[in-house]
Amino acid sequence: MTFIKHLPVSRLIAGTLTALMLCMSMRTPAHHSFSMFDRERTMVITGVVKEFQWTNPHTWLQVMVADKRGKLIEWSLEGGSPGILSRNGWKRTSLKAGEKITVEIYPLKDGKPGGSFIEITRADGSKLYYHG
Amino acid sequence: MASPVIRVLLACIAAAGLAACGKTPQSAAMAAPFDLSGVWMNDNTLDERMKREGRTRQTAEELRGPTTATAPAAPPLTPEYRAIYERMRADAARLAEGTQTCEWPGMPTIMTYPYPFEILATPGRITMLFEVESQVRRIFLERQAHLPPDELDPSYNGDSIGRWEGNTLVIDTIGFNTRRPVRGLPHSEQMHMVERITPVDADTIRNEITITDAAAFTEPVVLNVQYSRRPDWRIREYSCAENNRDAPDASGQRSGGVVQ
Repeated sequence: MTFIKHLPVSRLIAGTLTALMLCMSMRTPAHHSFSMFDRERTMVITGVVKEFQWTNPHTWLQVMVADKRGKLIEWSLEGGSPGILSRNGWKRTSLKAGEKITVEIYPLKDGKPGGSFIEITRADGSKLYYHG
Repeated sequence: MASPVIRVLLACIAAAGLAACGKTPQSAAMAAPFDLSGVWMNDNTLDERMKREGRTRQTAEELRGPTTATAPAAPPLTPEYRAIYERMRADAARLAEGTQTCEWPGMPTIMTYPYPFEILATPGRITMLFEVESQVRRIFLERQAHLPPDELDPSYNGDSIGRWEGNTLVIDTIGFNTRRPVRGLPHSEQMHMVERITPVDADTIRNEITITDAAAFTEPVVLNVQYSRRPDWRIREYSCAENNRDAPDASGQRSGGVVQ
């Protein structure tokens, strides 16, 4: 995987073993529970980027999506902090207003137009990822 | 009376002691058996585990999240602090799921957060520069005692003094405020935290954290964290107040969860 190319194999093996040991002894709490999202299911939406807020504590992606009647609805999609996303290959310029994208999300439990983004596919087929 | 030989011996010991006291900060720093300088990252965060394992999807267990990993039914608290714990839980239940305030993490959470920190090792001092909230932690290696009580303002990160025991940096911290829980547990201003930071290899360190609190805890809280050096990473600015759309509004809902 591209994420781990830069790490030597010995470090990976040692790190994995130690991480397994640590997993058994403690669970690191997430910064944020994201418990308002329904993580039992994913959905895919296609629309146009209105704004990408590259901000702390979380990034937000505002996307205009046409509903069944063709009315444009603004979706609010939450992601990791700029620090975390940058270490997953993102930049603040990764998504631009007006760009057409397809986004896989964990939707909000309450049915409002929002969610946490998992994978974004751009018009050229390239992908951006966050675990949601 | 002590014999002349013993008196000379005592004088030598005293002189050696004075010489040790008179050590310059530089010589003390040069004596550090392990160079902690650099950017470090908690190895056990979700992001780091997933990258290490080449995954782009969470497991079902990870997706279920911390709701299944809440504190045990009988938290290890004294009766007084168990009552405080129940009040905390009731207060939290009034907020909508996913709301997030912007208080500083406090100890020990900042040491287990999923964000990197940079260590500066300078004479007599270890300084930690955290990405989260751009926080700074100062660990004094030449001060033998904590600040006196009237100088020890209760604070998020406390007053830290450190010493080397072989390869292990032992950090002793007191002087905490009570605004942030310890692994979900309330604590008192008597909280006492001891960290033992030990190298695993040249680029890996482990921090064994033991927290006691005679007023609140019936047993120590023990945490183990491992950090890896990340020479290619840079620490970014981070202020939670910049754009916290998950802050609770007056009714306890996420204030900016969706654009209405």
